[in-house]
Amino acid sequence: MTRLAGLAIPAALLWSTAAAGQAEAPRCQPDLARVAAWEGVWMAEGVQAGLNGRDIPGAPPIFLGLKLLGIHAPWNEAGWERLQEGMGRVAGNTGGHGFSFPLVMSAPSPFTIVVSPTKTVVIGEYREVRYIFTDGRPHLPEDERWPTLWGDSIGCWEGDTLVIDTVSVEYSPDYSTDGPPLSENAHFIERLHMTGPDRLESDITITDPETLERPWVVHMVYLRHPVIDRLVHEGDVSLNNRIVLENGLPTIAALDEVAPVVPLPPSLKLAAAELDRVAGKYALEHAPIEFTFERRGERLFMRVDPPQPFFMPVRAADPLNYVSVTPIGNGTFRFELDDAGNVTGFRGTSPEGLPMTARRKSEQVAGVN
Amino acid sequence: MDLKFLLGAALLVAAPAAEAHHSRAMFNVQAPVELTGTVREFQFTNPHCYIQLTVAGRTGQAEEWSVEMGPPHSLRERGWGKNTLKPGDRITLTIAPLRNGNRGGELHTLRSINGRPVEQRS
Repeated sequence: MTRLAGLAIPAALLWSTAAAGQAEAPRCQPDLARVAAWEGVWMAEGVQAGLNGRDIPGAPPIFLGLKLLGIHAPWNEAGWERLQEGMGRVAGNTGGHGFSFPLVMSAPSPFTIVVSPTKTVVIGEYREVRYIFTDGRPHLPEDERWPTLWGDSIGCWEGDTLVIDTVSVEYSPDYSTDGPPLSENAHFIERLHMTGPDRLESDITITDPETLERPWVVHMVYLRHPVIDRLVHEGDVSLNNRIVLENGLPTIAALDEVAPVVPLPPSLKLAAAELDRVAGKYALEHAPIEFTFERRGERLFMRVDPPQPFFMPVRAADPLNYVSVTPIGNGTFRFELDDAGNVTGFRGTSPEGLPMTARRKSEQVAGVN
Repeated sequence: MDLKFLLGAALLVAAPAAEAHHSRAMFNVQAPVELTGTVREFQFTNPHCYIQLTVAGRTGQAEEWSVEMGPPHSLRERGWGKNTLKPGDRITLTIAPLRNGNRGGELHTLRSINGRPVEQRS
């Protein structure tokens, strides 16, 4: 229970309220009249899809709205490794069972909120359920709880702000839409409040020294759904999720097809000088796409602009051969040298199996130690 | 929707520039195909809606195509309901077809229902 010492809701306060014989009004409970407008159907801003379920033309890509997926989290070495390993699991999973916490709070599917004096319940479209107890009870004792996809949550209303404290969240990449790959000791604080009649905002702080270099802070905006006023749940929500991999390519398929798990390729530890040798900017031939390889410590990171305007690590097979891991398969990079031993470019294949050839640009990319 | 679906393009390391902005590696959005056929079933379901369309093949034999759409809440936002398409409806639509040649694709534009022009784009 040591983690409780740092909670935003002091356990001692909760405990003293309960122990006082309930002589005073419970401090964490809501003024229901003031928060009545919380009830309804909500969805994260920036994840709305078009009629085909994908990006709306002219709007930012949906994946940029998935703020809690973990692409931008300050991962440490273990975190990056878990993120990559999870991608291979995702690639081989055909299910679509819903979204675990915290991803459910930035998912491209709506959720509803039910507020009562003793608890607030968040229910996702795919039957995800979060119970947030506001009656003063503490978390379950450690020996009575275990990691689950939505964790163990308690909350406290500070005026019109609901402060939620969550622990014991399970990361299970076999659950198809799970993520991010935090440890089961991660600790989550959400401060959720209404900033307009149809707008909720939340500041989420995640601490997890096992996978993060520093606390990960995310600001979320939720908008009231413009049309639907209730959720419609189904029994097996994975039934009509038909995306599988076929020869490394995603496709829609028959319902009983199962794609294999894509194994995570091994990675060598290389010296900084070896990584600095290939670090740089590269221009893809035949397409206006720029690759940037940057050394961060003992790892090589890569960004592709477009369509991946953020850095992800690549894995080293040897000093000149690297592999990128994505949910749809692996990309390969074989760097080429001139007679003087300088890197001139690379050849490789994209995750879809398309050949790539790129030339090195003159611009330098400094490593980060 | 699942992660593969959403990240299909987000984490590509390279692709021809024309498709670099699309999270639909399995669909050829550059070569839309027009289909006219009869709705066998309109599946208004999570996490994806599907139109199961019976189309006459080149030799006249019936072929079934699967046309993928978004989840019901996305369709509802655009005025669709579970009865927007009914079995037996004759429809014309364009799709971004599957690259692997299977009979399926992603809805691009619904052009007509029973001869009535619609022209509703994704």
